[in-house]
Amino acid sequence: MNRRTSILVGLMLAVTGHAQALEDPGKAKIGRVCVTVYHATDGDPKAAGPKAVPVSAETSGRLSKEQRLRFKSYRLLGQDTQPLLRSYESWAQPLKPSDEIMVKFEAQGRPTKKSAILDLELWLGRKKTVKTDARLEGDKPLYVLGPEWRGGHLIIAVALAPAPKPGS
Amino acid sequence: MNTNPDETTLALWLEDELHGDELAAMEAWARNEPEQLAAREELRRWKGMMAAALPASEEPPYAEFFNGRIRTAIHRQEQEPAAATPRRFSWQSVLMPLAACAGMALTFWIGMNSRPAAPEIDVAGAPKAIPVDPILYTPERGVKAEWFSSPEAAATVIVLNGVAAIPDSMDFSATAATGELREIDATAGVDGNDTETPDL
Repeated sequence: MNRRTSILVGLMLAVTGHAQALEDPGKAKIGRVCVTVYHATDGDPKAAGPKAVPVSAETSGRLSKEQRLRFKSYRLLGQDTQPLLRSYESWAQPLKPSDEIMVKFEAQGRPTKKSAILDLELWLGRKKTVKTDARLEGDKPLYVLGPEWRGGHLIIAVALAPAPKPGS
Repeated sequence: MNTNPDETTLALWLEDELHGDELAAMEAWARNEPEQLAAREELRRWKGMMAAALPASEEPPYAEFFNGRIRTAIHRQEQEPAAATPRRFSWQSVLMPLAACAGMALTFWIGMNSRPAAPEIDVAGAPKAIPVDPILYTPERGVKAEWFSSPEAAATVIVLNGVAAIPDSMDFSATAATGELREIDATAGVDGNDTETPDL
């Protein structure tokens, strides 16, 4: 098999695979899930790094309302939004390029306009740390008070995200 | 004739159907066969008796009567289509299709407007949903997870205990540098547009 033949065969396989992917209804996007990582600390908020973004007063106030999540300051470290597929699992990697925190999720059923039930896994340090079935609602995210880091804790927020606007 | 004749020749001889040399040969053979001679005589006598009792030929009785009936039947059959009277108009021929169409329309209307039968179990008084706490599984040894709903924060919370701390040397600044991050609480919510969820 010469080089030209190999290229042609590769192109044919790629086209065939792409066509099959388009035809696979299990890959239909039935929603979107957003995973956000905050650094919450009672110490120096600058410990998260100079590029960590302060959260809004609304988010800070919301987190502070829960006693277990109450800290003096919060910083936004990373965020990733991934589609919720009909038949397949999805992975969110909010701290790209680091894979220290990964969230795997998969639909348990068809989400409604207000809520979705997911099979959810939180992976810390490339190890599955917790697995649960989470019911996410549009105005009710899931907060995970996670590991310690630089004098504080990481809080992983998992929430439904709105569908992207056309053209965005 | 020294040998016995075959059955066919013997039967023809008994019926007096042999002639010439065959008859002479059979006659020579029959001189020593008194039983065969007696049988032929008996057969001759029976044939004579039958001939005396039955005429040589006889015309069928009332032949003209039977032929006449056949001709009449044929003539009647040929005349029947022409003699058929035209069909008269009957309201039944109109009402029958109309009644059938009305019946089909009524059945279709009933099918379209009928509602499914009521469930056998009355669930009107049952709670619509029973809140069940999610199941938490922590495969890591020493790690425990606690789940609770927080009305204050309008969220559900999982608190991980016993999880190893992330080394402070780990730097996430490459991620935190992105300036397009959005607040999760400000954007949480499912878009009402459900066009991407055709059917599951």
